[in-house]
Amino acid sequence: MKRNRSMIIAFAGPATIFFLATFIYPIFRTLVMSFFSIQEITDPISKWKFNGIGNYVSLLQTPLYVTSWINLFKIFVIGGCITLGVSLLLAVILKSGVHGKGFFQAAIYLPNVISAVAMATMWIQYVFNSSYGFLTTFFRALHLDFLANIQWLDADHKFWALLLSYCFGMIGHFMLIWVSGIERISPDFYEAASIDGAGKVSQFFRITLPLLRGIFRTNIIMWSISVSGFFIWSKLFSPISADTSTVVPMIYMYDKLFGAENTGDVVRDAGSAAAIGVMLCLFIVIVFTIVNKLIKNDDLEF
Amino acid sequence: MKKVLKRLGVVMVCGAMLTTMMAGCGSASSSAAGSTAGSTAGSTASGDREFEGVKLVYWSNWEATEPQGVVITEAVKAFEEETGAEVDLQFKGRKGIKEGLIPALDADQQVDMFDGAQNKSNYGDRILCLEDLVAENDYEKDTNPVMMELSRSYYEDGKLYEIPYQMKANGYMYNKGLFEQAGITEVPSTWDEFLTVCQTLKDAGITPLTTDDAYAMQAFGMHLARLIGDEEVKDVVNNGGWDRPEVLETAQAFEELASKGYFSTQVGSNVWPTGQNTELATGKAAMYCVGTYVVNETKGITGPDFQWGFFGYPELPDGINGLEAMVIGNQSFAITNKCENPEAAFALITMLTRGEWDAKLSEESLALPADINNTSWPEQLMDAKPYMDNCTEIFATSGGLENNPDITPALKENLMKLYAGTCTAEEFVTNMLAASKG
Repeated sequence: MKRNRSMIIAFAGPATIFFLATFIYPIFRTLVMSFFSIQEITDPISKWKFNGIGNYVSLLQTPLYVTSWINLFKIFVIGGCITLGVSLLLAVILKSGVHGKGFFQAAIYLPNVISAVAMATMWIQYVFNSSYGFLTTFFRALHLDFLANIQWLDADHKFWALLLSYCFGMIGHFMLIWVSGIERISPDFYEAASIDGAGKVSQFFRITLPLLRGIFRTNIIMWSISVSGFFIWSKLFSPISADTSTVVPMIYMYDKLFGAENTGDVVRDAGSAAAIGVMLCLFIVIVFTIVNKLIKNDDLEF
Repeated sequence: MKKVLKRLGVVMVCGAMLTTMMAGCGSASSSAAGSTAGSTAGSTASGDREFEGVKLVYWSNWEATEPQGVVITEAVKAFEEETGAEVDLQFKGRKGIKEGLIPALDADQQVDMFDGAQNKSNYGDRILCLEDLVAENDYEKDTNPVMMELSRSYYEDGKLYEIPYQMKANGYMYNKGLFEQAGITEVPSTWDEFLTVCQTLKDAGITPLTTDDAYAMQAFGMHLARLIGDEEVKDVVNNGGWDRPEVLETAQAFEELASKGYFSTQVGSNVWPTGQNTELATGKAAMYCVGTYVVNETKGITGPDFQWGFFGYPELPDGINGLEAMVIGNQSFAITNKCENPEAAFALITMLTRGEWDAKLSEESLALPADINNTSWPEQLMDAKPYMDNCTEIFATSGGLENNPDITPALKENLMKLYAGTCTAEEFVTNMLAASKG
């Protein structure tokens, strides 16, 4: 087919310019801003003061910022294992011919269509509340007082309460991606394996899991993107001001950019906020690179 | 011919796309231009009414459905009818102002005035100095002088850039019904009296104290500020002076409250607003160290019959200040440097902070009035009046304890542990020293 260059330019040009202006320019500007001392995000360049890697150094020397990254890694690794593991298990169960598949699939996905604000409020007020929450009343009814007396939202348990409720909401989303991956695998493989005497467990480890490698890679990257933007759940578990057990880099960035609450003197630091943005971006790039190196997708054809 | 048609097609496609993009940009600029034109017209037009033809854009940090939003909407309508000005009132909410106002002003968007939390010093030259307008209108005489002093204290040049309203006082909000039930007739003014009140309540089977994570700093901060003053408290949080003996003394005071069982058993897990809503407002706990705004925040739960009381943070035997020093705060109005009719904006601010509309704001939102001539305070807050009237020294928020946002989360966590009795005073000091050093 003969290519019409001017037509290509006419159609691709505006979109490319729009993409460069709204996506590449902000990234480039954020990167540059991260090396300057800037108070407001809208300050003119004439007000910027060059600070070298000062923003990065000062952030990495701030214990709260380091804590925010530790929390993020814990959510990424532990939450990732829980969410991806449970969602894969549920996907395999649903694809194994269980009755009411449609209902269970919809029910497990349901938390994704409910606003995170409503979900977090439900968890905080009706599940974890230590006087009338579900966990307290449930364990009390079973006379398991040592479990009923756990204060799920105190400093020692808050992170785990947050992680549990976040993972609960995310499982349905990842389960659907696993399901779509499993549906791509021909039933002939399973049929042949069954004839050869392979059990369900053996089929899972020798057929399903290897053939889901590409989906696994996609899910890890999707999970790292979701986790790096972790904000609303943390904000709802620690409204008004941040909390050591729930603070994540996005929360810290928000407070740097717009000023923390109740401080009296509002201090805003757009330069440091930009540096946090760059570090979060690097986090995703690093995860993406490692995952691409470790999990190859192109050595299997089916 | 074919080639010419193709080129014509390319030009038309490009043209259509460009027109669409330009149209998108055009609507915003034309509305801004319209607004400016309106403002300019206002300054020259003359009519029967004072501000005929003037257009003001007012961004409010309330929501339209909040009591403050409802009253402000009514007041703005009355202002428009009275003066002939046209006010474009936009309810942006707290986040809308916090996140959007400075970018809007920097992008030359027309916003003439706004309201929001006290201390607008971070707006820099984006807001106007109001000293001349205040002097010309003889405005100052009707506001509590301490509030005016506080409003000036935020700015390096000591001048006034914001007009205070919706005053609040912080101290112990308490349930008078529970006090009566325990036979307590007088509120405590000293620490010993406070301990006696706690014990009396406990003996009557009532939980004396509760709090929430978000407000946990208030009691500890005021206690420490009683011992060393709020400037020294700021020094502690900013420079890691947690090994000062006064910090340990304060922590020991709260350790004692916890060990004697004065705090609610679930205080350690109270994520705001759980404590204020499910313990204080429902009558399960008697006292909560917080601002007078809690009355409005919980009125849907307490109903009209709840008997609110207030007392200032108790004096300490070795304290350097007394009940005359307290945390007071407010919301405030400011006029932006985009405003071409500051007189009109100031007239609206005056209307909202004086006489009828100030009284209505106070009544509907259960807040303290800005106009000292409005003596009919909401019944629920009457107890705070003598404290406010006698206040000569204003503490910073939480006595200065929240001055370092990098340390507040660790402080909050350890205070909740201290109140819950899961950490000792010594451990509190050790933990805070560790948190400040990293």
